[in-house]
Amino acid sequence: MSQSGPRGKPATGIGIGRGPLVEVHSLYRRLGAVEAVAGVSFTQRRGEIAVVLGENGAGKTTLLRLMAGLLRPAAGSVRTGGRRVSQTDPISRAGLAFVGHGASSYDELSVIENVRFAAQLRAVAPDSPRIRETLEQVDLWRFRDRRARELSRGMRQRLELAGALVADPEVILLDEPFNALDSRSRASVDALLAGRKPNAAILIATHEIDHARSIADRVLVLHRGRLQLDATVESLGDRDLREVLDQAAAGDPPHQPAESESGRTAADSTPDRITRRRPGWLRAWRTLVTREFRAELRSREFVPAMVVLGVLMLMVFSLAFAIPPEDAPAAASGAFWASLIFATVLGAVRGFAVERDRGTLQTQLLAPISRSAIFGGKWIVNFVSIALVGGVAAVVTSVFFRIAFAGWMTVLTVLVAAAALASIATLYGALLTNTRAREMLAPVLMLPVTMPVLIGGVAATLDSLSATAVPARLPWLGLVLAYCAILLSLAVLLVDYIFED
Amino acid sequence: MKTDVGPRSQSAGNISLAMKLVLALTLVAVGASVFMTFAYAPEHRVQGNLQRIFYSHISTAGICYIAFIIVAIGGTMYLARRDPKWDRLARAAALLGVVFTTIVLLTGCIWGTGVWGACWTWDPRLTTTLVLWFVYVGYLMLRGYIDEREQKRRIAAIVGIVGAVVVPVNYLSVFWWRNLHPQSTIIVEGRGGLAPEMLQTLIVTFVAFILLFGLLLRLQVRLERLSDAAADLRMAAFAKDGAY
Repeated sequence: MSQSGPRGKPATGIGIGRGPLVEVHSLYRRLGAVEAVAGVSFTQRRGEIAVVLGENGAGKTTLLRLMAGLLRPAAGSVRTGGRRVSQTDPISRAGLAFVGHGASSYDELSVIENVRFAAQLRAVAPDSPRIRETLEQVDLWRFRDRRARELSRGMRQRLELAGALVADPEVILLDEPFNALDSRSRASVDALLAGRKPNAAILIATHEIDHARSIADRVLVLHRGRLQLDATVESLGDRDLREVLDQAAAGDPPHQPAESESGRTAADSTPDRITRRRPGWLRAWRTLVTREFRAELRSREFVPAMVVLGVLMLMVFSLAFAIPPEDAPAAASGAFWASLIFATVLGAVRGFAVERDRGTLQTQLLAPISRSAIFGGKWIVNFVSIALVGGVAAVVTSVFFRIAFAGWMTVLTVLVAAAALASIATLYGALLTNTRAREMLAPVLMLPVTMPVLIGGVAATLDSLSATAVPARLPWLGLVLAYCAILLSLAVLLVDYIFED
Repeated sequence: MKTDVGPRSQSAGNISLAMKLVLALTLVAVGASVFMTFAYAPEHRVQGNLQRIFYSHISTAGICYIAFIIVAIGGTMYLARRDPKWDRLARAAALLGVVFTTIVLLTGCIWGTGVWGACWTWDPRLTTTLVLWFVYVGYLMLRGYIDEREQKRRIAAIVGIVGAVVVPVNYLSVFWWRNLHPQSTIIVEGRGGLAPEMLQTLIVTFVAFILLFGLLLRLQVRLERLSDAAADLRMAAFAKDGAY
């Protein structure tokens, strides 16, 4: 791999040393009442494949998610290439790949588009030969134009691997990568990992003990979040790994061979280095926005539903109230803004939640890009969606209420208000991804915060309809704009906390 | 097992001397406030005795702002330090903020019925006060919808900080939108400022409410602390029983 990609920022921490590439120190994380990972420490070197074994709930997945930076440790640290992995430090995620249990590729995108998206988020050019090479290695090149949703489970699993490995990561974390793979696919993945092994530290969580033994150099056994065994396969000799696991599950720590990685001397403890590349903020943002629009154009999942909902709301308001002609401007203005706000609250807020449910948010969170780029990508999509709904709703309002509603001043007001509403929807959408009953909670939390937009929007539109001189309307627009600026500033300041897990 | 609550919870049932002093001061201040409101402050020449509700209405409104600013400060400090005590402070302040905002809305309704002939109008100050009430009711509701405790605290902290944006909107609403609700006339000279007895009564009432709020906040924080301690015990028992 080159030290600095043509599209990426300059590489940092280049060079291959002899010390550990991965250092896990006293890692601790509780999930609810359970100590999922409790004081785990170990190191791993380049060129080593280690497997993590343990019964269900032993903490394997949590350990890998902590190492990938998807979870924040309550105590302890993970370092790769000497740099602490942190949710707030995008560079720390460069050179690191994680493949979880579930899908994290986009249904609406084709195989090659998914891999290209993952590559671009890691500063690999979209036309790089790496993309073809990786797809060929996982035997998906011939299916490159097929949509991800049309793939079998095994093919999907290989697609996840391709996305993770396309940027030549040097720390590879795989959670149950052999699930759903037939023997042929498994052999191709084995070959793929063997090819990556000389230049990477590979950690695999698995239940497949026999297969683990055949590929691993080292075995880590977890039990109730604690590391019970850290031994080289060689040092285990002929011992059956099942027996080792049973011993660990019984609470009887198996013998700790002297030649474990953690037991090595301090003389070779200078951390190995990682080649790190990441895209700039604007490039990352453009990649995210392009993907969002492409996916929406294909799935037509959000915008049409929001438009129909907005128009329906207008119909309900128009039908429900017998409005005398002289009150039409006030009623139209109120109905228009109420409809736009409801469409926003029920539609735009779902963006992040859907991504979280489908696992695709993980692709973005794992990439070495700032959280503000992820927020910005969703904001622009929400802004365009809300502005579109506003445009259609303005025309429909003119028809339903028989007034000239859709003037240039209304367009300007809608654009300003769409910016404020997009800020609210994106902010709360990101916040509510992990809550129960979020469809109920979203309106309860968001509607009060949208009220300044409603007040400013209604006043500006009413002024516009009553042909008030332009300068008289500007303070209302200014109010909504200032509100939007405050919300966006807060979002930027809080964005790392918003996406924390 | 790690717990969020330190050893001070052991003495949660005791009331310190300082607390007793604050309690005594609060009682004196509330008594003085009641006396001054009904016996010292003069009757308003237009609104009559109904105007006496003004002292508690204004004071509780001020407390609401303080409560919601504490929610934002508590949230900010929690995000910065990850110390649960800041979350408990924010949670307690939000609860009291909602109670005091309810009092503001109710006293405003009573006053408005006598003066404007309507309990409620969509006046900007009234509207934004109701919006504030909903923001913090939502904040309290949100906490019930998230299971993981650290996540609950983090998300509530962010919602508390963002919700505080409505506080200045509420305060400035009477300046931005001229409507029924009067602008501040307390100390503006030559614009119908308060009579000295009225101003003194307002100050004493405000101090009384500040003390009452401080006392209630202290007690509520202590209650939240005990609640966290109970949750810790439940989690410890759960983990011991084999949560795997």
